[in-house]
Amino acid sequence: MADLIERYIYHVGRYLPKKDRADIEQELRSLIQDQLEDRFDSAPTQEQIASILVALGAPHHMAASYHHQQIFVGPDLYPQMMMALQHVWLIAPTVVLFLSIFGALISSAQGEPRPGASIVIETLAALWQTTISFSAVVVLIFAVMQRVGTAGGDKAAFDPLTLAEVDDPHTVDRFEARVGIVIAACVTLVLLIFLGEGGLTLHFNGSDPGGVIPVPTPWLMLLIGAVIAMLVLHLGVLRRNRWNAALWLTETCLEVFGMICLYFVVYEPLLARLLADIPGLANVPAIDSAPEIVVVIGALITLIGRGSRLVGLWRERGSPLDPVSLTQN
Amino acid sequence: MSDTDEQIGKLRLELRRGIVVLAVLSQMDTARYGYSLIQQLAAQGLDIEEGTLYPLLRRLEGQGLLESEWEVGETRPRKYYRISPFGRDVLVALRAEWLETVEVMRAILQGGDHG
Repeated sequence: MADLIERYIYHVGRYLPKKDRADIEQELRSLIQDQLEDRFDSAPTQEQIASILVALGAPHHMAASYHHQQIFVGPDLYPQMMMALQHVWLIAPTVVLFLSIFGALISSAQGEPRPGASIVIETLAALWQTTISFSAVVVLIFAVMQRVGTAGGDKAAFDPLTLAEVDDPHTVDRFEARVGIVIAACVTLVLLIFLGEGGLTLHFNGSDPGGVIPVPTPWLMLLIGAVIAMLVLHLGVLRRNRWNAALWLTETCLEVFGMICLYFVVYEPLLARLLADIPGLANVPAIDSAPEIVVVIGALITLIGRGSRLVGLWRERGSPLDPVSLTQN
Repeated sequence: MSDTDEQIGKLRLELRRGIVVLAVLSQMDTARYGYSLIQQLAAQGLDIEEGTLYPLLRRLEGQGLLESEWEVGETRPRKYYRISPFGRDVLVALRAEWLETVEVMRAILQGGDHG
């Protein structure tokens, strides 16, 4: 009995703000058990529990009713919009920061060094502007989706018995997978431009590539191959709606391999340029090893972060497919 | 469901939205947990879905109209809500407003029947 209730509460919690999650989950648990006691015998069947959960609504509907301040987007899409915005707030500033550092190095390579204060001010302005712009685009997209009525789903379509297990390692987070595909597609395009120009550049214009930091072509091609392979893998996982040990291991290997490629394609060339422009940096302890340190730390974080799920998938390999876990994210 | 039924359903929801707040506040002199409040209101003829009531209780608490406390001494932990002093002031004003609205609407609707 508890399993189905806990699965429902877990899936509601995924869409709730962290600060309220535990409290709402506990309250929801109490509400469901009150209803069960009131309506059924001491040991209700799965179908009886399911009937209570159907009345509460699909997890994202239930969670959406706790979001009060929707302006452009209704409760159905609001949690998904917030998840998309959280990605934007993480990715956009990171990319801008990287491009700003890269831009400073490129201009230096072209013999037009800019003052440090100017770089800092421009970077902060770009961070602010980019984050706001992309956030506005996301809100606009969701507002349009709301308008054209893509926020679908009604209570009749929700079947609690198909809810995925809590922490089921096979579960595919479809939203994350879609975001991963979009990012991989964008990265592939940028890398192909680098390949065409023979190195890293900020001018995405074939007739005027501007300053180019040369990179080893074989490693760049391998990196492109790894990113495309991850894109294809995510498409396949989305299609089958289920991870298995082999797919998870493949993705982990691709991520680690991608980091090794990044070492040759980005970290090493950028460090070489930095040291050429600012010779004083050579005195910084361990600066020569910085690229290696970045790669090793990144690989360790990836392996540790993905390891426990890999173990879970490995233990369950060969078990018959459980239709209950093929679900609804 | 016909278009008429669907339209009536939507309008009824809009009508009920404010009424539910008033109904809930009016029952909270005694500390209650969510499901007991649902039953209490249902016994008086007002059915509220669980998915509506629980978020509403949290919203009213966030607005300072209700106070809450977890009670752990029972068979399971339950969150009890009670009206706050501020909520009581708001309830007095809302109740007067509601009664006046009912009178006005009765006059309007009866006038409409004859007109």
